[in-house]
Amino acid sequence: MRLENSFNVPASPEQVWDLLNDVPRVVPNMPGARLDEVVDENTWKATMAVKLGPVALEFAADVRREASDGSARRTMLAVKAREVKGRGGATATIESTLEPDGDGTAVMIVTDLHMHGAVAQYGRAVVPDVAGQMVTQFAANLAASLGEGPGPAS
Amino acid sequence: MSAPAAARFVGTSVRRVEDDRILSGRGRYIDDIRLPRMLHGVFLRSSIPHGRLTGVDLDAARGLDGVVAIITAAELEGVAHPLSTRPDVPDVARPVFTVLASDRVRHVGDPIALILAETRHQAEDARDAIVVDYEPLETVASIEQAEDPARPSLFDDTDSNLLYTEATDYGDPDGAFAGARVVRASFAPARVAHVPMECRGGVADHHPGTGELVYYATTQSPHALKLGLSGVLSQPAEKLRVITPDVGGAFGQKAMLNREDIVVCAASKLAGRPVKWVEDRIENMTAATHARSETVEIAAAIDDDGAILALDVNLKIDVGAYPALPFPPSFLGPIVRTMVTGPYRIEHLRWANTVFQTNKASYGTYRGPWAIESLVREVLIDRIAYELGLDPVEVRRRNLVRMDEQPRKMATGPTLEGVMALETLERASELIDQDSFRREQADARAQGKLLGLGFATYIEPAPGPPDFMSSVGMQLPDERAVARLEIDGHLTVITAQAPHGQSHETTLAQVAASEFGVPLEHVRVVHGDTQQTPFSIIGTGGSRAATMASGAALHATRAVKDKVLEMAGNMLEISPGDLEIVDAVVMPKGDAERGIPLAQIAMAAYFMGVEGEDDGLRSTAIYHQPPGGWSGGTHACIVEVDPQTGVVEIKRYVVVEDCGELIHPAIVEGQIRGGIAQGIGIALLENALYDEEANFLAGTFMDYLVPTSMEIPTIEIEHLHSEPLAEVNYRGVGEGGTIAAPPVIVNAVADALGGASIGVVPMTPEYVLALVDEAGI
Repeated sequence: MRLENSFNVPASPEQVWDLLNDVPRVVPNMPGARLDEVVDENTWKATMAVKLGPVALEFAADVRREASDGSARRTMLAVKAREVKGRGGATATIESTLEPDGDGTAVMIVTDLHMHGAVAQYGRAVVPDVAGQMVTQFAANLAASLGEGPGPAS
Repeated sequence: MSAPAAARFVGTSVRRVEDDRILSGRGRYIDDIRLPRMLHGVFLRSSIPHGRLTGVDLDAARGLDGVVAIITAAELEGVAHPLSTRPDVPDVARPVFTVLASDRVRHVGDPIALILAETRHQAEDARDAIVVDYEPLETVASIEQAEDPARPSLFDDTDSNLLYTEATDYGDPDGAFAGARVVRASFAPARVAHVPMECRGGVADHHPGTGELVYYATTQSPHALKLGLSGVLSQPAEKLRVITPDVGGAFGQKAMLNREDIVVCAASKLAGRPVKWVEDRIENMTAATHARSETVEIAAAIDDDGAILALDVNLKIDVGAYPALPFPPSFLGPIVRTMVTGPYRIEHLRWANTVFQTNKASYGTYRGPWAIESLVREVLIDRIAYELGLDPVEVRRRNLVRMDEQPRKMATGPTLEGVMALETLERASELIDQDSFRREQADARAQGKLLGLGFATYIEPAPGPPDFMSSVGMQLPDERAVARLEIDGHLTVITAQAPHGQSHETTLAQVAASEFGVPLEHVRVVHGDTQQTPFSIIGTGGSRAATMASGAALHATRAVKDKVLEMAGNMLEISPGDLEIVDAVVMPKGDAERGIPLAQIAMAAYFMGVEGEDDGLRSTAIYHQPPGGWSGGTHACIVEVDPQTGVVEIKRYVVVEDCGELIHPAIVEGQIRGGIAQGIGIALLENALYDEEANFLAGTFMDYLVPTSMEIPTIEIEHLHSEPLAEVNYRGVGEGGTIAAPPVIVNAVADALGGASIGVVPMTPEYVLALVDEAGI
């Protein structure tokens, strides 16, 4: 499943780029996400709670930075997640690209998501909507992190 | 003086023997069985469709409260042998696989481990604590992908995903097609699930002291299950007993030797304690069997009058990842092949069948397993009618084999005899009143309403003629039953059937009580215990019981009766031929005064014994398949298609059928209605859907829609009766509804849309709306 989301942040591409590459700082901005462990400079472990419709899921995720191209302002993260109660899992590549947009920065996120198990069954219909909402909230939190708002929403 | 016994029970809708138990919640199903020291087993199943198992971390699960053991493929080594299709099945690829997945998983739901705990919820918690690492492999999610040599083979010991190929000509199809007008159709029905009310399950009780294994199983085939378990577990047959309690529906799904059955029995051996496994719904939908996973292309050579000269059929079957043992992957195709010309005068057939494995749940026989042939043939006949501008009833009338042409061999071998297909078509056409319907249809159309009328004619081998199974290429044994006089004069009839909704406790008692001359409640029908019941490799399946089990019960009862009359003849000094049994009293014909109660004869038989006889004059009968053996009929239905929503509503549904003499009319009609309900599901609702990467998407009843009373119309049923060909003139009726309902509804929807070309079921609202658009309505 390919998901495309974009949002604008009232900060310069340089500021956003620095933040996006600081994964331990970025993770808490994602609704429901928690950083558990910094394995090395390109590998992290995180936990993520998501509600898909009536079903509450919790994923244990291995996150790995696959590419980071400062000149093109493009990063690629690979995520392999397992639902902690055995209800399947997901793998994803998340490609983020930054472009100047007026005074701020446009952030484009393209996610290639593969779900399996019960997660795939419950999630298929609602994932695009849920992902859209999460990205909107993520953007707000990110903007707040950059000092433009009241602080990250939880 | 009461009426002759024979007239009293057969043909009457007596109160069902099963009702007091089942309708009052006193049935005893697998989940009702609670043995001392019993453990609860829960399966860990693959969440991915295809991959290498790179790690299964059991540490956290092992440490949880109540967890007693976790059985994986490693624990089963030397306990349960690997599985494969039997070596005597010709021309089929036979990959070998372990009972639990060892190094590779091949479908969502593939069993990896069995967790044993003191309670069910402890076992489930432990299952959820197991961390499985997979290395995903490319998936095979469809027949097209299975045909693609670039896709991986599911097994290292198969070169490709093609398991079986068959091509046969009957008659001279090349000659018949040469220069003839050709009409084509193709069909790709969705996979469907069997959806028994009770899911699968079993309780295994291995006694470490005696080595005896008792397996309480929800199965249609206790003896086949025993045979399979005995082989896989190296369990001596004399120390293995399968007991079948009440079974809450099966529809073909419980005819298998499930991998789970083997694991549960092995687990009881390993743990030294009884083990219960009860499948939940999501597990059943995901990991038990599916069916109707086929595509078919069909072409008919016809003449200008609509006579069908020949058929050309290409059937492809997707059997999923593992064969549903004991059935080989080549099991189904030959039955479809044998049935495809149906009750029609079609003399030439070109046949091709290929069978593929995919990353899906196993294909299991489902009510009317060969039904794809009736679906595609009946849809094709309507297409012929549209192409020639003829009435679909007229095309059927011109091609159906008339009674005066029978007996007549089908092109594929079996003998059609006593088949009233044409008579049922004519009667259904009369009942539906086609002329007035066509007027109503035109009026409705003027108001923007879309009405359609469809017909479908079918036959069902129930059990089929004696040359049916040899035409398929299989052998089926005769049916056995045992009858025994009890010490109080009552009768026990022991059947080889394993009923799971068919009401054999009632119908076989009706047959036996009528024959024996005793009240219905003096007969008890015993079934479902391999230590008591006669051997049958089938149990209940294939619509055989009405003829075969009734015949066996009748003859076993008659043998006991003959012995009773012999004894009574000696006691009364009268020829046994001059005696009868009326209301449990043996008497000279018409002379109740001189009668002896049956109980008195029974007492004498037990106390004094009869030279050369078993206790209770116990008699075994072997019943051979009589001629005829076909049930069948015509269904007709009227639908309304809503052009705004795409919803199809069934306005009227008529069945005219012949299954011989009815033992119990209400049970017969219940079978017909239940079958039609499942056919309506296939036609309009049910889809065991996988995505393009073989993820399963239909594990709950939110995703998998089954028909409810809202979708099932009043079903009008009329019975016709052909001339009896044998004394036992009862035939099966369980499968016809599921066979005929999909084509009759497809034909009605096509008619509502002016002859739309339909090649998919279920006809969902989206699909119907696309047809409405295509039809320019």
